[in-house]
Amino acid sequence: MGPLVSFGIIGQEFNYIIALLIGIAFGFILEQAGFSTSKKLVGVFYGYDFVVLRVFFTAAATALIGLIIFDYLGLIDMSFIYINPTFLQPAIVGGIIMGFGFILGGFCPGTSLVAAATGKIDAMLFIAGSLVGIFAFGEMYPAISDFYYSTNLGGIFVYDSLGISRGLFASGLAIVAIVAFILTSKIEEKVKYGYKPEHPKYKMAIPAIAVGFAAAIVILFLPEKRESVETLSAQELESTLQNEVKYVTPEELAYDIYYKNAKFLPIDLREEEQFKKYCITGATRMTLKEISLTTGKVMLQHPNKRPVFYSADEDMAKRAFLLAQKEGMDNVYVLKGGIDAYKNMLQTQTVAHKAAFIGANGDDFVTRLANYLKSDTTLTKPQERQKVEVKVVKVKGGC
Amino acid sequence: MKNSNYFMNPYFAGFLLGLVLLASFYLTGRGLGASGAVKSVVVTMVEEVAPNHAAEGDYYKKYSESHPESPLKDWLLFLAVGVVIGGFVSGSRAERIAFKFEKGERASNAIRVVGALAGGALFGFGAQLGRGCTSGAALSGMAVLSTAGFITMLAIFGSGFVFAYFFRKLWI
Repeated sequence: MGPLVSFGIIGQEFNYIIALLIGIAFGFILEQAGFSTSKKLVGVFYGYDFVVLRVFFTAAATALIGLIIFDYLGLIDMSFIYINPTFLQPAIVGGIIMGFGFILGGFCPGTSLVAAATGKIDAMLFIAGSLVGIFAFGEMYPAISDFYYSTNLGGIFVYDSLGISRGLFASGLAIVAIVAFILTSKIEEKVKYGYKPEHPKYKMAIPAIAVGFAAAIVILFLPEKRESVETLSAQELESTLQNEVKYVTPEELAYDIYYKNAKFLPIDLREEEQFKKYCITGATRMTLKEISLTTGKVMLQHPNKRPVFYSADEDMAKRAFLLAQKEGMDNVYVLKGGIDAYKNMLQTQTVAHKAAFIGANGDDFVTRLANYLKSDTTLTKPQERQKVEVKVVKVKGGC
Repeated sequence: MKNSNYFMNPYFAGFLLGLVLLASFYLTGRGLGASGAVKSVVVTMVEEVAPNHAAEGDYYKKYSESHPESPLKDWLLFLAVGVVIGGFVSGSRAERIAFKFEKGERASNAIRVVGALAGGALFGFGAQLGRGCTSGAALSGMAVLSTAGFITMLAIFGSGFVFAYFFRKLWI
């Protein structure tokens, strides 16, 4: 499942090679499209050449439809995709300044690199200017950082901001793009001034629009989101599991810990805060997400230990069980009744199958267990080394 | 090839660019960007020329913290190096490589020089304030349907149309 770097399928160092390769493709396409000349780029603002609008919107539409389909097919985990956060006012003011820079300079940063690569001196000047601009921002940063961090709306989505569904928004956007493509080509024909290099006729325009339109319709009728294990309702969870959960009782687990059999590996799925207060002796904390990660899998597929998922009640543990099964792990268990039941067993010292726990000396196992664990809550604090170090790489992005 | 120096059909170019962007998200979880690379160069220059100043400034400190090894070991900088290579390869293939100074017909050389420098400075500044440029904030943001992507796109192009009228002598 993608993104491959986030899931550790591609190493961090190789990530830089990928950046280089993606950059080469990016630069090649921009140059092929004619983005290496300022006269063509600014055409969009004067109506004589809308190549920027065509490339830009087709690219955005292709990528966004692709992401929606990948998400639907479960090929990509959208929670690992960098969503640029919305700081409303800085975004608007920054955009206005960038628009002004576009008109004066004739480039944007990406296109200036391509143009400079093909020898455009004005593009090299633009890059020199952008060094100065970024330096100026760095120097002014203390004075404007309050504004820079103001009106933070977080990583919100445009369809949520507008209060409509993702599919509806994507389809609407596709229709707007197609209308814009048709209108702008009419404007282009009428405008006689400006730089107009000779072009062959775009024979692919109509099929391209048709394909886009078909994709838009498909998207509109795709369900909002593939059901993920995390968002299943309790009822759906039960019907998916169909009573096939393999349980370990609190007694069995306690017995295993007490006699240091270490047959089981308790996996704590609660929030970190609760985990730090107390956990079952020897437990490792994990999130649902980490179950699908390579590092998590290595831990769960221990040759000699059987992972026992537990949460406050059984709900989260069952979700983990389901996820682990989907990942092909059969040797996993759920702690019956969750940590609450485990705690209850220790505090009340009533054991369902008491007979099984009476030691050779005839004393009560649970009493000895409680003494052994020696804490007020009868549960231990987690030890540092028990915390699993799973590197979940959430990238920082943007410019 | 007879027509190799024609520009590519823009819809096809956009489609290919969209696939590259999709590949970037699938492989690495992030989109494209350009101004970030310029930023890493600026931070490096400040650190080289005035290390004390860089150590005191919050802006440079913040950047160094996120790039512990070197400010030049930046994902977007590798991407930008690729962009330059890709642009050069494509330009050579289409025989478009030449030192050229391009400007609108009515603009003087001096005005174009000032315009390119000032435009670059404004774009660089604006891209910092807006957390990304046309590719990083607007294009990649729109692809993931972030509100910021659409707002930045509308602000850049909206403001472009307004300023285009006042500065039309630069280009037409």
